[in-house]
Amino acid sequence: MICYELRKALTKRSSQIVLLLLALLTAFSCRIAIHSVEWIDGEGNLETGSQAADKLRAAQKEWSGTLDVELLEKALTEIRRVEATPEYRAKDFDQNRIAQGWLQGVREIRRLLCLSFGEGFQSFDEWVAGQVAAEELERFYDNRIRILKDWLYDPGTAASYWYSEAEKEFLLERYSELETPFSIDYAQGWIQAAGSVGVVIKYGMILLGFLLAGIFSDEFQWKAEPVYYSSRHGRGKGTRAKLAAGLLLTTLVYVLCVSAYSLAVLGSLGTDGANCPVQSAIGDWKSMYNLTFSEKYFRILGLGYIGYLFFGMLVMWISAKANSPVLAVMIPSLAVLLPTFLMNVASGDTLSKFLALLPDRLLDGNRALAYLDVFSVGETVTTPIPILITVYLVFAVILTGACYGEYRYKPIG
Amino acid sequence: MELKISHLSKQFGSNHAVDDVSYTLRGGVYGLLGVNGAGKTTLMRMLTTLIRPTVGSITWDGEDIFRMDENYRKRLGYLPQDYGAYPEFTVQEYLSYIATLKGIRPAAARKKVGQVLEQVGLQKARNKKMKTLSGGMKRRAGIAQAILNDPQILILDEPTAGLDPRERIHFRNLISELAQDRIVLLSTHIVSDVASIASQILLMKDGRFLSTGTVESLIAACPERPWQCTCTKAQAAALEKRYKVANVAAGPNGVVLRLLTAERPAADAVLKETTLEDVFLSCMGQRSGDDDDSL
Repeated sequence: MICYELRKALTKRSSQIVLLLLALLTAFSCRIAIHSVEWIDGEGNLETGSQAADKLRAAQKEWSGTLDVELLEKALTEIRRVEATPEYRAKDFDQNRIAQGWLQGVREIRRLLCLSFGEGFQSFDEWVAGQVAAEELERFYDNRIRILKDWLYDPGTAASYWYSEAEKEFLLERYSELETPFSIDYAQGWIQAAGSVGVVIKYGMILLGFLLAGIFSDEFQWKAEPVYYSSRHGRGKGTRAKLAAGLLLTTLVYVLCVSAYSLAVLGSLGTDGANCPVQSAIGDWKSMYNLTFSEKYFRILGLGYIGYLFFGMLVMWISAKANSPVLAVMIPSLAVLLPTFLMNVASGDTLSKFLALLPDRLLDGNRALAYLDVFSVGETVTTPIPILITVYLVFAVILTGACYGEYRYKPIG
Repeated sequence: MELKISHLSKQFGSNHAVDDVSYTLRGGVYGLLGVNGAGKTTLMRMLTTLIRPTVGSITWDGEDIFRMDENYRKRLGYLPQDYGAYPEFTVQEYLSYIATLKGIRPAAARKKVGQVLEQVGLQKARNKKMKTLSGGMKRRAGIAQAILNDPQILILDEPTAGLDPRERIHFRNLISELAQDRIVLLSTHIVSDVASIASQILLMKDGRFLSTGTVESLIAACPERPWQCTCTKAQAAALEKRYKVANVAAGPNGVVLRLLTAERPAADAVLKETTLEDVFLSCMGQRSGDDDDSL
């Protein structure tokens, strides 16, 4: 029965177009991720893609290892050497670019130095690295905690009143728990994969909505419901088969799209750096989640799957309730897209906290695992991740029951 | 084998679609006759558990059909009036799917699908997609799905709609074959479809059964008789105002009228044999079927 339901859902012309769009979306996202890796050759020419990644990997491997004072000193010497060259100081763009190329191997360490020795939590100045004194390098990791502390307790910053005392302590504790000195390695595969997987997951969900929207309502669109409901199993096994087909389709689309994307991106850019902490890259230096690159990536995928289960069930429930595939696609699509729009146009602690708990955040795990959103539940301080997982898994289960009940007991007028 | 309807009513807002209907169906073909809007489809939808009655009950061998749930529906075959199917399925796939929904095991379903395709004459179209079928072929596929599970209760709502005369004859023969050891309830507003095959006729109007019985008993009980007379156009116009007109035809000597009346309408009027159509017209009134040109 499930096979027939899948066949009904997938043999429509609109479904075939959606499947094609899903394939194109995945391919497009792979291309974006792979070509986000850049390499500047000795003459200042920019290369992108997997060949650039190979060259960047080779260059950064020379600077991989435990990021202790010794490696930092070595990197600092190299940074100073390059920054002293006429090419680096030149105002000519092409000359300057050649010098930037010489820094590619040590680029991540240089960026981390800029963050660690920068003026504040929100500042980044690329000149800072070369001006760090060698004797200051011992404070490299401590600075990360100090800068956070200054930001949290400085009465001039919004953070001082955004977070409660317990929340501030929670953040500082998370920062302190990071094991240092940590390892650093080329990790562009994980970084770029995590950076663009949200596009596949989010827009894939909207497209998946078109496949799921008809599972329940098409019986009515095709006027097939009297025969369906008057059959022996229409209200029982038939409805369960529809739910199972929807969940299977959700899982299949998710697994296929995400697997194809992950294999293509990680296959092209490499899986090096899987065990390095995410804080070893500029994007996550401030992260409160003490994870490795691979742990973070798989957590993003896990959150995405929970998001798919929730939104998939929401689509099917609306489809079963309203008998309308249009509504079933429209409402969840708005729920996916509207928070992103709101986040771009609005600001403020309350709104930010509210947005952090909306289900679209599950589809954008990279963002969810980057922000310093914390919540106090009673006396416990927690990140939004366990709340998102618990709440939307429970909602998905409730929606499954509601969808079954709605369709099983539907009167056919 | 007894399907009993007791004081059954269904109300949609202020509209009484079915109004206090009671009847017991046992084996045989039951022809449910009524004009559009008489409540036939609503009654059938309650008999197929698609909608619940506002008041009253339906029992199968003494047990409430809504409580029986799938135990009742496994005995049921239903062809709805406004019947649709899955456009991308072939006829064979469609019937196999419905067989699965009806709980027929795969091996038995394969055999049964082949059998019903032959019964309705769709063997050659078995690999055609449902969306490519003509109206008549689609209707035949609908009949095929209804009889897949050898139902004890076969409910057919306007089954001959869209069928050509040859297909209608074939269908009538098929129903006669199927009628043994089961209840067949056949709704139509085409009187000739049921006149020859129904053992019992249920005349329905405004949600109620106006009259029930065999064709012969209904004819015998009809207070009006058909009279045929030939007259001028002016006389015809006057007669049409006074009597129910069953038929108007142009003859060599003027207009030939078939009038329904208890009294002789004109001196030269000849009494004709009463048919079920005359009974239908007498019960429903001439104007009731104005929307239906198929009477």
